[in-house]
Amino acid sequence: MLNPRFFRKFAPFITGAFILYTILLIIPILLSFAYSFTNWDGYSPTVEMVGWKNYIKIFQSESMVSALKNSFVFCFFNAVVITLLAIPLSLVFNAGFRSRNFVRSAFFFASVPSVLIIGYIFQLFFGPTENGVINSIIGRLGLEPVRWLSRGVLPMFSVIFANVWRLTGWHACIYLARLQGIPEEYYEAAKIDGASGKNLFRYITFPLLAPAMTISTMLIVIDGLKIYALPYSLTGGGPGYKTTFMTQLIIKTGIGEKMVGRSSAMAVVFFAVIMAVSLVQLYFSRKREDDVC
Amino acid sequence: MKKKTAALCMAALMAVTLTACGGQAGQAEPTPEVQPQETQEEVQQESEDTEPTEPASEETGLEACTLTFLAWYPQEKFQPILNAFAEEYPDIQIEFQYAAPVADYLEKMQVLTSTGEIPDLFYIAAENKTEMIENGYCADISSTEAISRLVDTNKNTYESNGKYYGFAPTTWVGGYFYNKDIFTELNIEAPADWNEFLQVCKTLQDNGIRPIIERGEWFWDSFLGPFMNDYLVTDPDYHQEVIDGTKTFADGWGPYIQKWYEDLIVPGYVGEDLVSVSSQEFFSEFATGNAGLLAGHAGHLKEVQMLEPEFEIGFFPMPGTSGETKVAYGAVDCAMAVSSGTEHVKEAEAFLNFIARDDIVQLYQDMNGYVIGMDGIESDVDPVLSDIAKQYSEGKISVYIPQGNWGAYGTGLQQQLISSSQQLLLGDIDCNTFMEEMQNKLKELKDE
Repeated sequence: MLNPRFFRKFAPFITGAFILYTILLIIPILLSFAYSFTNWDGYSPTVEMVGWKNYIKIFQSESMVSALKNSFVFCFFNAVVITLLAIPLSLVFNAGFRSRNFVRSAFFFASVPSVLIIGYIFQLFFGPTENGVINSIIGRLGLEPVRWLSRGVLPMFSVIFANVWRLTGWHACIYLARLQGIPEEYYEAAKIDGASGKNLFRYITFPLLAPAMTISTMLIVIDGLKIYALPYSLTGGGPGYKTTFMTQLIIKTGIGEKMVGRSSAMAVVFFAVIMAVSLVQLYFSRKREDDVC
Repeated sequence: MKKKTAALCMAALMAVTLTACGGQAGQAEPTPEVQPQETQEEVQQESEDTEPTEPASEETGLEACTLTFLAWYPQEKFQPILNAFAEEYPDIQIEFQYAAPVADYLEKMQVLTSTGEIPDLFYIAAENKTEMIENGYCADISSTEAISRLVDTNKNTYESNGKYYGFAPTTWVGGYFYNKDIFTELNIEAPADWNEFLQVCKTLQDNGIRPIIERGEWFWDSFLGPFMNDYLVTDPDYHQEVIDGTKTFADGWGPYIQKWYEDLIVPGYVGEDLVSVSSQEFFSEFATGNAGLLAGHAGHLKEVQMLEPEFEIGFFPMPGTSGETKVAYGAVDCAMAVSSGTEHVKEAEAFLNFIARDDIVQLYQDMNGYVIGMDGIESDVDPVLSDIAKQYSEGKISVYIPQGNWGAYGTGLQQQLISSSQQLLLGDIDCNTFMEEMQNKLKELKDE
């Protein structure tokens, strides 16, 4: 039950935030939901209601299935690889060596530039010709150039690699913040009991990193599902549909193919998928936190 | 509960990012609105230096106003024209905005139309002209001096029901740029027909030189030569027939895609790695002498020249099997249009008429390097392109690019063309599936 005195005191602050939240979030979501039942092309001043047609069409679409699959593959490998690299890296950040501030800054820096720029830089690295940085080095070693952005699973690997490079340092800082909050007494007590370094990590550090892992993996999953700029600049979604993700498909359908109604239906479905994934992930993360604490 | 709420909020935030602000991520930021202040200062300085004159606007009955202009070209390129206009019409300000073509421009224009904030002047292109004209966003400018000066091809590209809605003063004409030094060294000449073209590719490949360089989204253009010059000349309405459903992609494109696959892809003249060639590599691979041929137009030539290649560049149009070039790879450029809702119709038309002037259209042509499509005006194009430009200006050849002929389905079909051609090049699909995918996409776009 809302306390009337509390409400009166904070009403001006709540009202401002509520209005902004409504304009920037609630209304666009409701509009997208409404557009998903129309045939609006983004230009026409009039629209026609088409019922569930857009939803039926998108579930029949191979490109939608392919984009959803790509989004989940990308998201899964991102979460696994970044977490596997970020935790050990955070231990390095937390170690007491002289240049640790420089090392922290260097790794964190990768997350600072625009994702679009990072995509274009990696495009230069993975370029298929002799002007591509990696192939130029490979060529000097007398080896055949590798088609990083066209052959088999390499395009997806390249996008994941670029994103891991971008985000590992940033997520290591999340773990570092948590590491610095673990009381030193736990380690001292364990050492007195004869615990090895491996056991210190296994029974103290890793379990107590659980809250940081919840935040980190949730951010990775959300960032992974909504990734747009990186594949847009690195592979353009190709070759074919090999690196086309849901975000790209939604924008291509709405802007390029001028089917705003259908792209809105895709956005609504994707919203539901993200919400489901987030809730499942939260459930298991919270369960794990409860188990270890 | 709090965590559930947080999850809902995060999911909501994502959905809004994707839908309401769909194009933000990864899109180049549009140039902020800027007044050509430098222009005004220059004009003031000039007016102090010279004897005072009456503003042109007073002589012509034009009102002092500010015209908003969403341009296809960046301000630094357009500035000489803005300067000249400010000098001639000091009372008419141009509020210049820029969105990078093509995707960003289309997206911005789509947002502006849906919010009713259409600028007084804007560009329309093959990708959105149908929607912009049919939905009444463009004013009829048929009676302007600017339109009356255009050659028929340029005029008719933006025509609907006998009225003209866009002023496109230039046309890009393309083909293959070649490395003359390599050609001389290998004792080969610019090919005149398809068989000679294949022989040139073979000679280049045999000598360890990449025959053709193109970007990952455009390498399909190497099939156009025979299609344009052998088929399209006999059936210029082919694409309309495909859209109307009386013909299919397989009917016209089918044999030529098959020919392209067998003649260029199978021998490796169009290599698999082209699928991922970026714009930067596209230019550098040719400029460093690693590739013998570059498929492109005047804009690409400028980019290559900026890399200062140490060889002479030649040009030949994309050849058909007969040897006579009747249709060249190219398109009428995007067109300037006047908003049907503008309060400054006369002033906006005055801007178009100003650009149509002999001296100013030359500035426009300097900006993009294309061929001027106006009666009686010679194009000052790069000497490499002078022959093809002359042929176009004299009406001896026409130009063709597929997406310019697909009307409202242009962008969607173009995206499918890119995707299917990449899959074909990588061996993931065959030519028949390529045609089926194009046909299915058309069906989907037509909502059948």
